[in-house]
Amino acid sequence: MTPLVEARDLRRHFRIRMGGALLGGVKSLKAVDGVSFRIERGRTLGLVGESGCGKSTLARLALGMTAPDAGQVVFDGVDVTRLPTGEWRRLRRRMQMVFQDPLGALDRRLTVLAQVEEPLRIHGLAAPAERRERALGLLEGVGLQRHLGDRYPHELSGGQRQRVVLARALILEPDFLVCDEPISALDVSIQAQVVNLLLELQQKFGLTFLFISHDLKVVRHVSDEIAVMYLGRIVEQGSRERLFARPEHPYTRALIAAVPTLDRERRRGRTLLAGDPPSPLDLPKGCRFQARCPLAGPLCRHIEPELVTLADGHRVACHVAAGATLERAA
Amino acid sequence: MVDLAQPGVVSPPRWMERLGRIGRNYPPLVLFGMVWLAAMLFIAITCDWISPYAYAQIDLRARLAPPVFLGGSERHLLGTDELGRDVLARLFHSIRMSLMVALIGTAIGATLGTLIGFLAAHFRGLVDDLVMTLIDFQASMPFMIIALAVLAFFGNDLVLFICLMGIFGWERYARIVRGMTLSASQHGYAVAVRQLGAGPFTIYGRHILPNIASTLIVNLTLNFPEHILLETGLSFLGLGVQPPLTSLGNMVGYGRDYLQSAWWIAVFPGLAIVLTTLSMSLVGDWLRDRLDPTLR
Repeated sequence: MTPLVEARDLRRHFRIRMGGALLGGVKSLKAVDGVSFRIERGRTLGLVGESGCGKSTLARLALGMTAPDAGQVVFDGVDVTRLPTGEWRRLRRRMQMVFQDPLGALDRRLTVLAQVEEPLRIHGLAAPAERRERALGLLEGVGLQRHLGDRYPHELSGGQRQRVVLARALILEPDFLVCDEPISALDVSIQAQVVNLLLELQQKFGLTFLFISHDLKVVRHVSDEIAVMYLGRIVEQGSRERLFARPEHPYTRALIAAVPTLDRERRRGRTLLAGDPPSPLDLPKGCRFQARCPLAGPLCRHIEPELVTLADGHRVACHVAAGATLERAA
Repeated sequence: MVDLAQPGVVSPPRWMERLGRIGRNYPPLVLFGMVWLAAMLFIAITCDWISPYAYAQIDLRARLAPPVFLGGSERHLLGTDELGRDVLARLFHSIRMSLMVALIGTAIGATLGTLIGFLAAHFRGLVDDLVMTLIDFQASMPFMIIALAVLAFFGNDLVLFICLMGIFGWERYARIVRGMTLSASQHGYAVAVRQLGAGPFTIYGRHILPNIASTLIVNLTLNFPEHILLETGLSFLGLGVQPPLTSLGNMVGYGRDYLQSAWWIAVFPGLAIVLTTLSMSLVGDWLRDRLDPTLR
């Protein structure tokens, strides 16, 4: 089966001016540095990583909102990164985004209803009366009462706003939805509701998700496959079950260990990460994770590990983990 | 114990309640400003019918006649000027002329500036640099001097004069619009709408413009009185509206010579200038608050 979305060796570097305004040099920040993934139709790829690791840049790249420096994103056979503006706009009917901050993503001067029906207007679909009806129907579909349509965004609660953003993204009936931290701005009590709503809508519309979060619990709940990102690269990727049962990369292990648990046995054996990640402006030679890695050896300090596929299809970028597993397999 | 339904206290009648509500929604000064502006607009539109005389009609036997409340005759309610022209009739026509020049000038300036600001923010790069340079040029030259030079060089013509007024003040709109559009483009809602597949007209016209409109309206209300003052200033100097046409500044300018003997020639148009610009500022300020749904 061909994947609906495929990213091939995506790279996006930002030029950052260092030091003084006049005399400083220019450095390159590698926000996304060689990322590849495939998402099958109707499946969910979860993307985890700490803040600043390039998740949001990757989301924008996947939708073609930012042009990559290298690599491409193929959506249903079309390279979205190099489309002319008009075709890119038309393609928005099939790929949409849900934002982290729902209040910021909504125009505070328009009613909720006007904003939900706006995509139909933009793409010239349906007559005004029908647009209104469809928007109202979809508001109900995401669990908002019809009368809330006349409200302004600031008059709604955080959870309601995120539902509006969802309804707006779904009214075009897209195939592919990128959720960039869709619940991190919400109350814990609302998070579960919105996550369940997302899953319900995925079932109903057959959506394909790229689900980005720093919250491993949530990603585990929604994803079929999970990719762990560290400083612009995917360091481990595999099915949800495999990744949680037997994480290979020390970073993934630390992330999983950091999920709060009541199990005393697990708590004792967990490795906790110390320190901050190195600045993406100043990546160390060799493995990006070496400074915080409990397993780092001499090899890690000189050669950057590639993402290798293990015997069971699991992928990991770590000399130690890959070597150990390969020996075991042999 | 307090008896809640005290017999002596009667709730105020409904009309008083309604009046109170109007008073809260429309503060007295704003109300005054609105009434004044409406009156000015009414005068500007109907001045051909409500003027007692034609504005250039000369009554040589009643030169420099005082207003009626200073013992003048009822034929000239606000007195006459040095040629015996009725001050009230001239005032009406001056209001029309000044309002028209300021209104068209402001409209041209605001539209031009907004458009240029959007262009600069949309294309960035070379267009942006060019626009910013132009803005700096315009801002660094006193407009009065430019206007004097242009009018002296090309001769005076009402259309040219109005176009010149339109160029006054565009740079402020352009600068505001450019800056706010740039910051709004990074904002969630503009990014969100762009990724819905909207074209620049939808993004700028339907989303960014309404969101920055309150700032523009404030600028407009500051700018409109400035236009009136610029027009009156130029006319006062004799470079604006030329006789026999009349405008508020023109009246003040020519009335200046008789300030000691017949003050009414200059004071009434001066009063009209002050009250109109003041009303505009009051109403504009109030309007900005009303237009923002988050402040309602």
